Parts: sequence; C-alpha cells; structure tokens
Amino acid sequence: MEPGAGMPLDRRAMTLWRIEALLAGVPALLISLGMAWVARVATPWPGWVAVVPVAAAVLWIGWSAGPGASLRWRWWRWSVERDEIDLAHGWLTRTRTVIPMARIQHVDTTTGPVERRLGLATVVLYTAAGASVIPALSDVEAVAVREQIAALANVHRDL
Amino acid sequence: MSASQPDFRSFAVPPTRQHPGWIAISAIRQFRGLVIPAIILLWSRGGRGDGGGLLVFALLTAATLLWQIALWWNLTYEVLDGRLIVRSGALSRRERFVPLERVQAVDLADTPLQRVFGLATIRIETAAAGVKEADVRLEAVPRMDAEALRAGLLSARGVAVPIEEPAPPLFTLSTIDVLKAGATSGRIAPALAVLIFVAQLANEVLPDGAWSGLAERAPAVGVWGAVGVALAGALAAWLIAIFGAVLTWSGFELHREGDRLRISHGLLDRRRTSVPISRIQAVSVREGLLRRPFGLAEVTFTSAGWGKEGKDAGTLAPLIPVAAATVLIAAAAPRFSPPAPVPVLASPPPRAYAGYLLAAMKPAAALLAAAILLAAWLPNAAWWWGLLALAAVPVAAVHAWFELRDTGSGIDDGRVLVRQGGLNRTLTVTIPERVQWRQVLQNPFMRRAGLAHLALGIAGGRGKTATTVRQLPIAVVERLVAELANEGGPVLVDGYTSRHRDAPVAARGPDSKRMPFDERRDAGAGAGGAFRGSGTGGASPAP
Repeated sequence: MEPGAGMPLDRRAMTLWRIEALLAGVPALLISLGMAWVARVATPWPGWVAVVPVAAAVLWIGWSAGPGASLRWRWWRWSVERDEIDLAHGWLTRTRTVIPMARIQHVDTTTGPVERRLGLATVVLYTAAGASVIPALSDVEAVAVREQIAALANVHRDL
Repeated sequence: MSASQPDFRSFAVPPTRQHPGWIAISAIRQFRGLVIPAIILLWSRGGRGDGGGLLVFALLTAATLLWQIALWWNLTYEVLDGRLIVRSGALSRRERFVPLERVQAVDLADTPLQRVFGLATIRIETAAAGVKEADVRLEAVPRMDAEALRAGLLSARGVAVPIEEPAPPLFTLSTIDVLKAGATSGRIAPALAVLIFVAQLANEVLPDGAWSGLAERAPAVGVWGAVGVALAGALAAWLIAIFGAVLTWSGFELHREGDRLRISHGLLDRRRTSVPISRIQAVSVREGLLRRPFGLAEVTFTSAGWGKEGKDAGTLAPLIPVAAATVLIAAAAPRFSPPAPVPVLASPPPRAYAGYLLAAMKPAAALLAAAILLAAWLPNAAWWWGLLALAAVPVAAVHAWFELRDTGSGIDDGRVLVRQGGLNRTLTVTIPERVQWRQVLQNPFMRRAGLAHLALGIAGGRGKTATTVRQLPIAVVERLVAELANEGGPVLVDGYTSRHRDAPVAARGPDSKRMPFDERRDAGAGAGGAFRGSGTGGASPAP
C-alpha cells in the first residue's frame, strides 16, 4: 500500500530523526544498563534476565535510527488547501488529521538545535483544542507554509 | 419612582459596616485550610505529651480571628453623590469608587450558612468586564438591607425597576436530589483521598511495627473477614461520596441571563460561574452505572477561551432525569440540545469486539499484576492469591461488550453526536463549528478488519481535547469526516451569526510555486469550498 496524496517532508527529516534517536538513545541505554546491573547484583534471577533491558534498548535505538526513520518519512504526507490542512502519517498506526483553516488560531515555526544545523524547521498549528505539527520542512519552505496558512486562516478568521 | 430622569444623587446610604456575622463566615473559610494540618500536628504530637503544637494552633487561631475582625471593622460601604464607595483593608487600605451609572447588574445570593445569620451576598457587577476583581462583593449584608441596596442602586442607575422578579432558575437541585446525586455518583476518588489521609494519620499515631503486625495477621481473618472489610470500605466510600455531594452541590442553581449562564452551588463555599453561551464547546449527558437504572443523568459542558480565569468545564445539572435533560439543554444552550429521540447512530460492527476487548483487558491485566505483587509481598500469603484478581477479566469483557453496544456517532440536524458506552454511558453533543480538528486512526488489525477510530478535537474539558469513537467501519468514518467538512465550512461567530469575511484568496500567498494547494485552490473555489452555507454565498461580493 502506498501513502496518499500530498507533499512529503524534506528528505533531511530522516537524518534529523536518526540523530534524535541516537541522542535519546544514550540515556535510555544508560538506564537499561543500570537495570541490568541491579538484576545481576541484587536479585537471584538467572543471568539472561539482565540482557533483556539492554537488548530492548539497543533494538529500539536501532529501529528508530534505522528503518523506523525511513518508514516514518515515507508515510508522512501533508497538504495545505484553501479550506483545510490535511496531515497523514504513521506506518504501523496510520493517523490522518484534518484541520479546517477556520479553526487555526495561530501558526508558528520552531527550530531545534539539530534542526537548525540541518536547515530544517517545524510548522506548529494551534487550534483551540491543541496543536498539530508539520515536522522537518526545509526552513524556507516552513516559513512559506506558515505565511500561507496565516493568510488563509486570516480569511477565515472568526475572532 | 420615575425612571425618565434619573437622579443619581437622590439615593444615599451612610457609611455602613457589614454584619458581624461576616467574621464568622470569613473565619470559617480561612480555617478550612488549617483543619487538616492542625489535626495532623495535634495527633502526631499528642502521643508525646508535647503541648507546643496546641499552643501554636491556639495562637494561629487567635491571630486569624483578630485579622478577620480587623478586616470586618475596616470594610464599609457608602452611597454618596451618585457613587458607591467601598473602603476596605486592614493594613493596606483600599477605596473603590463606582459611579452608579456603571453598575451593570446587582445580584443577591445566600448560602445555607448565610441564611443562619439572615444574611445575603450582594454582588455588584461593573462595566469593567474581564478585569480581575471587577465586581464589588459584600458577603454579609442583612437580607433587608441588601434588597434595599439593590433596589436603590438599580433605580439610581436609571433603570426602571419594576419590583423585578428575578427570572426563575432553569434548574435547581432539592436537598433530596443532592443526596441522590451523592448516593449514585459512584465516585471513589474522594474516599481514596480520605483513606490515604487516614493511613498517613495512622502511620503517625500507631507504634512502629503495627503495619507489619497487621500484615502478618491478614491471612488469619479469612475470606469472610476480607469480604466484610471490603463491604465496610464500600459503605464508607459511599457515605463519603454523599457527604462530598452535599458540600459541592447543595443549593445548585442554573440561571440563564440573556446570553450567559449563571451557575452557583456549594454549601459552605459558594462556587459561582458565569459562562457566555457562545463559548460552550460541547454538552454531555452522562448516565453513570448507578444512575442508569433510575433513568438519571448528569449534564456537563466544556467551554473555552473566555478570560484568564475562565473555567473550561462546568455542570448544567448534577442530577436530572434523562428525559428532562434534553429540555434543559434546549433552554440553556439550544444549539447543543440532542435531537429527541436520539437518532440511530453509526455504530461499530460486532467484529470490532476484539478491539474493545483488548482495550478493556489492559486495566484488568494491570490489576492482576498489582494483585500478584501484593500477594507475593504479604507474608503468609502465596503469590497465587493474587489470581483472585482474575475476576476482573469477565467484568472487563462485559464492560467491553456494553461499550461496543452503546458506542456510536452521527450528524443530525446540525449537531454532531458522539455516544460512548460502557458501564457509564455518555452522549456528547457539539456543533460542526466547534470541532477543531478531526482525525482518523488505524492500526494494522483495524486495517484488516476495515475499522478505524474517529477522534474529534473539542476545546476545553480539563486538558482532554479528543473525543474518540472507536472501531467504526472505515467507510462510516470517512463519510463523517467528509460531512463535517461540508457542515463545518462557514465560520459561525458566537455560534449564531456569521461574520465570515468573503475576501478573495487568490491574491495572497507568497511563493506559490512550491505550494501544493495552489493547484487545488481553483478547484476548491469552483466547488464552493468553505463558503458553502455561509449565508452570503461564495460568489457574492463583500458589501
């Protein structure tokens, strides 16, 4: 099955997510090593039990820095139309979100440190019921999308 | 009194203090926060024969009382030269001057406690809307004086005051109903809070080792003992729930004043809310497990975005017959009244039961794990005693079945209906303009079964913004999502009138080459797009 219509994210999103997975993996790995140590030293459980948390952490990091990031990118689609914004993502659990332009309260772009290095930015869409994001667009495109949505939302403005 | 030529100067009240009963009312309010720490301190120290804690609290009490007396002494109100003057404050003094022509409304209210003293609260609403402490509140004015002040203020303002019978409330709760609400609330959270408090207290008071002694003796009481303890606990929780309902819901009143709802309730601490009806996001009719057999329900609402201190949820009726709920909502927030009878809603097919069962098993599994751990930890009890918690599995299965049977969603007569089932059943009513976003979710199992969750983003409601209908056929979900696009297109300001600006879009939008929507814009405009149903028509020029 193929993802639906709409624009993909910037390809550098995969790089971003890989770096983020590795960065998040460091504390996760440390915690799992701690758990393994406790299991070995403080419990009478057999030795293989200690391997479980470490293996889980390594698998999780490997997945999210490897094929996970590619699949995530492959299944992300976004489109901004005159009346609605349509976001679809997720390989395993597929989520499609439709936000009417008239419900947009305001639009931001945010850039994390890694994103900035890569020249990426995230568009954050605020409604009265929480925020949605279009992650990892090129920074030029993110600003353009933000301006476009702000202009379209203004047409629909109800406040 | 002639209202044609208002004379602001004709009405005067000399500087007046409130009734001394205010000291008692205010002191009680202050002390409530001190009661629990006081008990803890007294208990924990009492065992050691140390009077220090008692002394500290005696001093604190005296200081609080003196402070309240000082506040009472220094608070006076006066009407002079067409102005209401309120002087207050014990150390830092404050004087407020309210020109009588700025007075918007004058309300009288009393709590059962105030009634004991024959007092009333008079609330004078000024024009400074949205400013904190914009209202003047005098909390202990003798009833007669309060009525005279109200009449005087309103007539001085130039409003012809026919001895105005205040509009009858849309809904009130009798004492019997308050007790019923408590008895059927099924709430155990307050009871748990009390239990934890008592356990902490016991920890302070009991000698060390009492807990482990208890644990050692636990298996000795036997099954009937355990059942007895459980029943006693349930009874205690039930009584605490009733007590809590009396505190919270006594004297509940719902008024509609023009485009606002005024809600007040509470025995000691009167809680008052004033909600613009236009800010209501959704209304829910919740039939709790213990209320369903009696045809009773609770009606609540969520609201959003009105002022800094605006609450985001409230109650229209703590306890009401289901049949009357529709009538009440029609009177209080007409756009959110559920169609009666509720139309047939699109519901999950029987093959969705697997998904409901799986979801219901998660808490059952957690309970089982907790029970096994507890049994393994208790001395003299084998871990497999925890398997008693397996009894939760059939309960969860039945719950899942009820959830499946009652869940449904539909759009009818401009209303979006979501019914969530289970042991409690909730019907949520909103309007397309209040649906902030809509979401379709599918995991691989659901894809194979052709099912999907539908989530609707609704503002307000204590941080929870998604209202989810689980496991509907994907075709139904797609249809509802599309229907909402059609119905939700025009922006209805205040929920009633369209102030939608019909501005041209094509001229906007920088950098249009990379935008995917540019190709679609023309197609969208041709199809009518968002402008459908806006009242002005898509093509009509702005006036």
